[in-house]
Amino acid sequence: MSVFPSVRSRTTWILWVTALSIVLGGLLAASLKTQRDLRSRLGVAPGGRGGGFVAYLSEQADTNRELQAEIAKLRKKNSQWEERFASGAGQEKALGTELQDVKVLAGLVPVKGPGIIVTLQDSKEAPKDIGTGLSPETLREIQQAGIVHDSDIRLVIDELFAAGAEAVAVKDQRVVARTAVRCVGPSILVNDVKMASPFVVKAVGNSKEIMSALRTPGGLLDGDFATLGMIKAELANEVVLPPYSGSTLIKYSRIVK
Amino acid sequence: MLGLPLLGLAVGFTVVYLIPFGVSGSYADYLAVATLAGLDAIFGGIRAGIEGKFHDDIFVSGFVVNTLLAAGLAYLGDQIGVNLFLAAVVALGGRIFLNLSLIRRYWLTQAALTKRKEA
Repeated sequence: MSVFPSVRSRTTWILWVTALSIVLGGLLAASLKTQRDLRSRLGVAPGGRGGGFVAYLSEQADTNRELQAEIAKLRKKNSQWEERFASGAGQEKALGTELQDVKVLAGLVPVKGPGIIVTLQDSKEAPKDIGTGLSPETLREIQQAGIVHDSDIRLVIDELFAAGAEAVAVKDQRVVARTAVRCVGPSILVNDVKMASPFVVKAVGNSKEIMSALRTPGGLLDGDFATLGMIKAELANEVVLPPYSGSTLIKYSRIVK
Repeated sequence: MLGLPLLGLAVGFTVVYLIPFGVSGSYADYLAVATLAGLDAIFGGIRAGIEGKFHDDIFVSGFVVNTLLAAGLAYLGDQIGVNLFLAAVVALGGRIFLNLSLIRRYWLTQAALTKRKEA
């Protein structure tokens, strides 16, 4: 067997290999993109057989997104019908108006109005005057103090409502009766939607009143958040708050007559 | 000499990388094992070419059939509950290493023989 293949077949086979290398390149690129996409979407490296969980999870995430978009569309259509209903006369009008008011309260319709925008973010400043010789626990405390926690967001929401806000939204999630704000590792879940700093909290209400409430000595703008550069608030002529897009299924509650 | 297939690889890679499509997450694993099968077919083809035993029909059919078969077996394995994905990875990985070492040997042997001829 000759170690040197003949010149002719050398050229030919290279061409074949080249042709299919192009296909292989395509496959490699597709695999790479898919893995990167999965990694960024699920925040964890797939690969290996996790019992197909990762694949299942990403499927569920896709479905959820589609369903939420559909919910938003249906609710909007619903609102339009109700508006038409409310523009009738007499009883219909009264019912329709009350329904719209209730929906605003429940956070099911987008609202706009004057208000306030509060931004909460992780502290960017390095802790000052720590020196050396501090215990790891103390260092950790100092570090934790500069991060926005779920309790901090809850505090802001509380203060805004207490100050007279009629509607509040954290980033694009409306705060409704069912809203839960929880910490999961480095991110915060609002209405089960993952978010990260900076947190833009918008509220509709009497701008000046809310602002002065926030400025009270000992209030949000006066305390630790302010010293660490984690909070800032500004008046707004008009803020637009999106509707709540989560589930409104009622399975257990019944009205007490 | 081997620059041409590498160029082809780069071209194919760039073209698909820039196209804004994505494969659904549940198919990611099948795509991965199909890519592995393709890699094995290419190396097998290179080795056959260096040996002088290259047959285009075997090569092309091998590439196509192996990629589809690997993905298909992985899918079948998922359905019946056997981890055939692993079998494909082990088998293909083994062949890739084998082919690579044979390619390396032929190259070194060629190089040695060329040196001896010139000497």
